[in-house]
Amino acid sequence: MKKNNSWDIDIAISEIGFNSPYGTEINTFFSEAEANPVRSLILDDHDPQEYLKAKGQRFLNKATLIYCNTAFDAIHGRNLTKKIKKAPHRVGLYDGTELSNLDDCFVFDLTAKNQGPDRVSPMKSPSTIANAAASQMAIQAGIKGPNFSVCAGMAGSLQALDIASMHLRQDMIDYGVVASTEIRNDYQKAIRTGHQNKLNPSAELGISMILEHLESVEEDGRMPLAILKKMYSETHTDETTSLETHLYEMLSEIADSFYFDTVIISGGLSVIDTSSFENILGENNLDITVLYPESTFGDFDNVGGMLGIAYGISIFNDKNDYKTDHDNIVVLSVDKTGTIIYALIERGN
Amino acid sequence: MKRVVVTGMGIVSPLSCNKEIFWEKLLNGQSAVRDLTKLDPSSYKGTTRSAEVHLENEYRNTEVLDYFKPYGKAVSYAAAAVDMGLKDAGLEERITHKNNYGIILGTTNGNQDIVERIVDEWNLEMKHDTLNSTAAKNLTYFRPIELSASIAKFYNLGGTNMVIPTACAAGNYAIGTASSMIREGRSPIMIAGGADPFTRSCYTVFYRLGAMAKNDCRPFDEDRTGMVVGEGAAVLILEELEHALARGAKIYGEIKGYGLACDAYDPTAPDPEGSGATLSMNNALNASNIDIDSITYVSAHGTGTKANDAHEVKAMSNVFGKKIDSLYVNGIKSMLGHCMGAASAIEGISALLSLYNQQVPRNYNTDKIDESFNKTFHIQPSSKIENNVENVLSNSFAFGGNICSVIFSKYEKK
Repeated sequence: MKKNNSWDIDIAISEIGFNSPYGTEINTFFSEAEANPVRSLILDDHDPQEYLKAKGQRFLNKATLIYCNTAFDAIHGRNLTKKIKKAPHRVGLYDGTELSNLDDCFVFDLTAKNQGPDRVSPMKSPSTIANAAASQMAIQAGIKGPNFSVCAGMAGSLQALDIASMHLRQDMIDYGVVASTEIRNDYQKAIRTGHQNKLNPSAELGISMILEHLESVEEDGRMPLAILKKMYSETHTDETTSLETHLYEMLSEIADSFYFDTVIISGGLSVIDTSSFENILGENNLDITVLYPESTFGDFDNVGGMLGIAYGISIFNDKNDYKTDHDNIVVLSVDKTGTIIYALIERGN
Repeated sequence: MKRVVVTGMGIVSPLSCNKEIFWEKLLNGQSAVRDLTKLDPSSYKGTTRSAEVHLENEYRNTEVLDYFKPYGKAVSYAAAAVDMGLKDAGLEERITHKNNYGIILGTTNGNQDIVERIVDEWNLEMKHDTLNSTAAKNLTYFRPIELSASIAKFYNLGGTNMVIPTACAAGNYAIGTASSMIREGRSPIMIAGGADPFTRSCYTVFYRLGAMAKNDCRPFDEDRTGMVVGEGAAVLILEELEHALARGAKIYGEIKGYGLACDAYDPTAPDPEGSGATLSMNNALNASNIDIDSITYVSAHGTGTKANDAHEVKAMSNVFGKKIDSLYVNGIKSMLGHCMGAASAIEGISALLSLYNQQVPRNYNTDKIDESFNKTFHIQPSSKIENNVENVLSNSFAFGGNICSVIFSKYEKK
């Protein structure tokens, strides 16, 4: 097999925005969500900082509201507002999404069928499409660069990061604002039931990251939180090889090129037989520690990849009980369709 | 930089599910717009027109049809289009060797028909009980990723797979993104296109927005009244040039570049100043290293709605300046309806067949350009461009102001 769909990159992650029932500080989420079992999965205050314009909010779905809040949070944290105003076409918005519109799709169709098409609100129609969140954010913030929503199941947020980093490399943008959200409702719960997903769901949350070239971070006298060194995606189609064996083979290949001792599987843990996976790693003497944050915090679904990166950054920054002195961590997301994406991140400071 | 060419195409459209017949009908000006049959027309006031696909009447590969039956209609449409595209490209129909070929598909809400199947089958009311286990299992097919991943599994495509839900611009998004990935050397072959089914929700959206044509779709015409809802799927087999040459593949054309932009204006209405479309076309021209004089014609988004067509003319005027006077602008939605996420991929096939066959599709139902544009352009191709098709700029616009323009070019050995 010709292995040329992995690519080396040097893209900085310069800021993180976050929101959850535990507040807007991501390390607080990691510490408190572990210590205090979730009383409610529901995020009541989608915009505590009041970034969003009040007009028209009632027509926006929850995923859109959380997306905009966290995207604004990262934009403010990185002081990008002036840069957006100066060159709105050089900033891209990216959303790693999957089921953000499911509830709206049901409500829209139930209304059309049961009450007739004339009773459907046309103002609700944008929310039935999964591009609603990034599109609304463009309107709110005046961002005119690429507006890119992408679905890759439980690997969705890493896919969005990959597209944004590709646009940076191809000089389509100077800054990528990448965000992903996870919301809870009965229809989403039904899909989890349909998949026989035994993991507890995580709390509702939103996470965003600013991607940019290393040079632009340094020009502003900042340090990157982490550096995206490599991203890779593929589809596991070979039914003669188990997913766990396949993942081991993939990690072995990465180990041929990079020093790392830590892998974070975040997004798709429900798909992996972890004991079988650990056995395969042990039998083959691959000396790595695999962390499974979803076993503590619940199923992150499409947000998993970005949460995994944030978890890795918390390790780099010594804000995690787990320690490593290596400079690289692999973050891996898997979907039950066989979609696999990983990011190799490097310590930013 | 690697060059990206198109070596195969597959289409499931209201006009035809056969590429050659599609092209013949397009050149002859045959329309697929008919009275609505997939929904009860009595629920909708006024004229109810649509452009529907009846795949089973035209496509006979039962292995594909049977395998994808539990999935949403868009998945079946796309799977059939991929089957036809792979055959057209001279590739194995179900690839047996390990590979890193990828698939990227665009859609509006490709699996919305799964929601509607559940609503209908369980006769759900506004307030209803939790879905039972059978309905819950069926609902798993709603996940957008099923559109690309199920096809990747079936055809054994081991590379990247993803779905881009950027609505009516999604096909071009997929084509542009796939071309970027080939340029980066990630994969020698990427399948890219778009798919959307006909759904109650989609029809209702445009009905409620008052965007539907009273009768025919008449892009840019002074008497245009709106768009016609369509459906379908289309895929291009994108290939790295050297890879295509090495296996002696037929080359329909080259993808020179693309541009992305956002209106950042309104969730459903385009920016009347055409700001996003202007940016997108300029980005595509810059990425392709092509100047406006080299564009043979524009394959317009041209939905036939008042707002879309006016803003597209404004944007073309911004990009082409005075040269818009001599520009041919082609809009094929008059014959196909608006096939949503598939629309720009179908228009991509039209552009590539135009480049390959050196023929130019004409406009139908466009008799007189709307004077309120304050701009004129050619609504029929001049003899100068017939047999001289070099570069086609294809526009696609979507809800949310998501915009993508792609430049398809005649393949030239260099």
